[in-house]
Amino acid sequence: MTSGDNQNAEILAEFIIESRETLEKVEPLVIELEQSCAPQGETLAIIFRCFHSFKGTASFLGLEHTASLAHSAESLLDLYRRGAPIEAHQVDLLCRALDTFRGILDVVEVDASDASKGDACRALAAALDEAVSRTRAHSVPKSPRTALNKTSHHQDGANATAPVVLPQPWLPSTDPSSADAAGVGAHDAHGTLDVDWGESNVPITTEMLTRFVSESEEHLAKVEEVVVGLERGVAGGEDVAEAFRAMHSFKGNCGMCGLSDMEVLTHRAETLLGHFREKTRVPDEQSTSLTLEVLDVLRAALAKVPQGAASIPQLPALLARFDALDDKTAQRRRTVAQQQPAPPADATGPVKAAGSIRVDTEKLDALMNLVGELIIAETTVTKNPDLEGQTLENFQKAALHLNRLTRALQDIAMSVRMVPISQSFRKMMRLVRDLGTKQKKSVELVLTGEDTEVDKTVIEAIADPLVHLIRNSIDHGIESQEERTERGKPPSGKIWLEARHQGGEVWLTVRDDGKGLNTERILAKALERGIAEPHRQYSEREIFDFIFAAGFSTAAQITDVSGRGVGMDVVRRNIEALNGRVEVVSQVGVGTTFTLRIPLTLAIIEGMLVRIGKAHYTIPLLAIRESVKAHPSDITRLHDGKELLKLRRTHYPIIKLAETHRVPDAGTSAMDGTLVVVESGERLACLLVDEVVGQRQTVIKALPGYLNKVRWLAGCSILPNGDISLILDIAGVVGSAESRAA
Amino acid sequence: MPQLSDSDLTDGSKYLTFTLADVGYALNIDTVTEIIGLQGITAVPDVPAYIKGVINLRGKVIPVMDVRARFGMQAQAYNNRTCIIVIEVSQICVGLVVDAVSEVFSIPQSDIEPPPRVFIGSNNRVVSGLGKVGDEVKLILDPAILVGTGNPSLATEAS
Repeated sequence: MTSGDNQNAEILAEFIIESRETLEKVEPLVIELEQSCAPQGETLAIIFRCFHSFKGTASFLGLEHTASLAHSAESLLDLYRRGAPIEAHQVDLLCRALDTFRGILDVVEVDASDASKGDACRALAAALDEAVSRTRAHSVPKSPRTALNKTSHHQDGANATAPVVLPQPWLPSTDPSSADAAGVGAHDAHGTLDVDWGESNVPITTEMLTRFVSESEEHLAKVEEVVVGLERGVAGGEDVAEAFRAMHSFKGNCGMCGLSDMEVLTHRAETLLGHFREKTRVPDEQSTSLTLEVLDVLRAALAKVPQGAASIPQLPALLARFDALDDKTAQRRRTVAQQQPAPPADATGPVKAAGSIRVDTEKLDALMNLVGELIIAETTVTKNPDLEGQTLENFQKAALHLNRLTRALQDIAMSVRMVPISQSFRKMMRLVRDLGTKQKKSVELVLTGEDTEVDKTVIEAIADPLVHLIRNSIDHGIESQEERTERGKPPSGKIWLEARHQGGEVWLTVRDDGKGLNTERILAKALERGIAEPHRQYSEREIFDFIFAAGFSTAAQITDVSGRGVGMDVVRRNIEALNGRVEVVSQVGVGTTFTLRIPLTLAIIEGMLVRIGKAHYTIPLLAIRESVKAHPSDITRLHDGKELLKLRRTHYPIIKLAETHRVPDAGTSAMDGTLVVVESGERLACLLVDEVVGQRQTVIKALPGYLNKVRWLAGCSILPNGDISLILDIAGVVGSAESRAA
Repeated sequence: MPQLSDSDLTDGSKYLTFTLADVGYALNIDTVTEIIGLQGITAVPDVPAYIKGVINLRGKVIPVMDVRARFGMQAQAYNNRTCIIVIEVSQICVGLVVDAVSEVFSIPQSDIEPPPRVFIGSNNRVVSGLGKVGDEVKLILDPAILVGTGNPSLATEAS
C-alpha cells in the first residue's frame, strides 16, 4: 500500500521531531526525580504525560517494541503518582529507557521500524516490570490524589470502592461502549489496547486548562475540516490520518484533565476515524453527520471547561448511535485486523525532518514594532536635513546599502506574520454545507488561491465579513433548485471564494451565480428606511452602496441566519478598519461579486503627503482618485457658503479642514490650493490642501491612546525630518463633513 | 536658596520642583521619566484646549499638555526656559509644558501637609499636599489626577 507508506512517512517524520523535543524536555525532569525523591506532583504529571503520548503514537505507527517499553515505564510512573517511594536505581531504568528511545528514533528515521531494537526494549521492559511488581508488593498505594475539580469529593469515594486495575497490555476489553470512568478503552484497528487513565491524580492549574482549551480548539477544527472534506470526497488518506491524530491528542488531554465524558465521546469518534483511515468503513452521510454533531457537542463542552462543569448529558444517546454504526462494521473490522500488514520495513528512504517552531505572537509584535522604528530611524539618518546640499559620495553609497538591508529585513519581518488564508477559507466549507442543508439548497463552494498569504491580523479581521457574505449569498443570492432549473441554471448553486495578491493589496472575492442584486427592491427599501431621498436619481453603483447602510435588509423574512440587516455595514466597517474597501458588482439573474481589497501590509501606508495650514497630513493613496488645481469657473458656490467642484460632468463637495475641523492656518480659498478628490465607499469629495508635497511610504503609528479617538485621523507617522504627520481617515473626514452639513 | 539639612537627604521621597506663574509646584520623581527642552509640537485638532498636540520623542509619539491651560491660567508665550517634563502614569506617557524647572528636593513626610479643605472642586484635588522646602511651600501634584487617568470624561472637560 504505497499511499500507506507515504502517510506513515510523513507522520513518522513529525513523530520523530516531536519525540526528540519531548525527550529533551523530559530528561531533566526524570533526573530531578532521582535527586529529590519527593518531586512536585506537576513534574510527575508532565513526565507521565510525555511517556503516555509517546506510547500512543508509537503504537499507532506500529512501533510495537517502543510502545511496550513506554508502557512499562508508564506503569512505574503511575505508581509514583500514587505515592509510591522512588528508588534511585528505578529512576536509572527510566533514564535508560529515554536513551533507548533516542536510539530507536535514530533507527526509525532510517528504517521506519524498531524491529532491530526489539531485544533491547524487551530486556529493559522486563526490568521495569520487575520494578513495578516489587514496588507494588512493598508499598501500599494510597488512594490517588484527585483532580482539583468540584467533583473531587465524588471521585474520592468512587476510587475507594473501585478495584485498582493495573492494565494488562494486549487485553481486549469486553464492553466497548462502557462509559466507565476508569477509562478502559476498546480495541482499535491495530489490536492493541489503548488505556487511558480516566482521572488525573495531579492538580490541574488554570494555566494548563487554558492551554488545553486553545490547543483543543485547533484539534477540533482540524478534524471538522477533514470530515467535511470526506463528505465531498476531497479528503485524502493523509488528511484522515492527521484528523485521527488530532482526535487522539485531544482525547489524551481530556483524560489528563479528568474530563471523562469528553474523553469517552472522543474515543468513539476517534475509533470511527480509524475505520475511515483503514477503509473498514465508508464515510457515508450517517457517520460523517454523527461525527460533525459530536464535534459540536465537544466544542460546547469545551466552552464549559473553565467553569469546571464539562459533563455531556447527551452522551448515552450519542454512544448508542455509535453502537448502531459499529454493529455494521464489526464484521469487516475483524477481517482487516487479521490482514494488518507489518509496518513497511523498506519505507521511502531516510525521513527528512522539517524545521518549524512555535513563537509567541507577543514576540512577533515586538519584532514588527522594532522593525518599523528601525525604518523610521534609518530615514531620519539618511535623509537628515543636516546633510542637505552636501555631496557625500561614500556616505550615499553606505546609505544605499543600509537602505537595502533595512528593506530586506522589513520584508522578512512582514512575511513572518503572513499566514496562508486557507484556514479561513476552509472554515467556510462547513458553513456552506450546514446552510445549504438547512435551506434545502444545493450549494458548492469552490476555493481558489488558498495559499495566498495574508497578515495574521487580517485573517482574524476577515473571518466575520466572509461569514456574512457567504450567508447572504446562500440566503438571498442562490435560488432553490426548482427556481434554478426553471431559469435554465444548473440545479446546484456555486460560490467561488478567491484570494490573490494584486498590486500592494490582497483581493478576496466572494462570487455567486445566484439571482443578483435587484436595484428596484433595494431602492424601494432604502426609501422606506429613509436612507435614500425620494425623487432623486441614483446610479446603479449608488444603489448598491445602500446595502452597506446600517440596518438595511431587503429580506422579507428574518431567518436566524441573516435578515437582521446587521451584516453588511459590519463587513464594510471591518474592512475599512484595515484601511481596505469593499466593492460590489452584480447582474440580475446572473450573480453577484463582492471584492474585499485589503492593503498587504498594515503597518506601512502608501500616502500622499500634503500641507494644510502649518501642519503636514498624509492621505492614504488608496483613497485618492485624482488631484486638480481648480479654475474659478469650475467652482460653484452654494447659498450656505459651501462650494462644489465641477469635474467633467459631476459636482463634488469641497471639504475645507479649516472650517470642518478647525485646523489652524489652513487656507480657505479653493482657488489657491489644490483639490484632492477622495473617495470613501461610493461617496466622493474634494479635500482642499494648501500644498501637495509628494508621495511617501511611511510607517503608521497609532496616535497615543490618551487622546480620545479622533474619528477622522487614522494615526500618525514620523517624517524624515522628525516632524509628525497626521494620517487622515478619509471615511471619517467625509462622514463627519456630511454630518456637519446635515 | 532653601537650605537642606542632612536628614532631608536620607528620609522622604524626592520631588522635582517647577514653576508656573511664579508659583512653585512639585512632582514625585517616581513618575518623571525625563525633562526635555521645548521642541516642535504638532497640533492635533479636535482635542481639549489644554492638549497642545504631540511630539516626537526619539521615535515615540507622545501627547503634550500645557499645565497652565490645564489649570485655567492665562497662557504665556514659550521662552527659552520653558521645558517639557515627561511623566508616565499607568503606562500612559504625557509631556507637561511648564514655565521653568528647578531642583530635585527630598521632602520628608513630616514636612508635607494635606491640602486645605477650604478649596473644593475637581481642579483642586490635583494638589495632593503642601510640601515645605526651606522657607517655601510647594504644591505637590498628583500625577494621575493631573493627567486624568481613570477619568475618561476629564479629557473632554472644559478646563
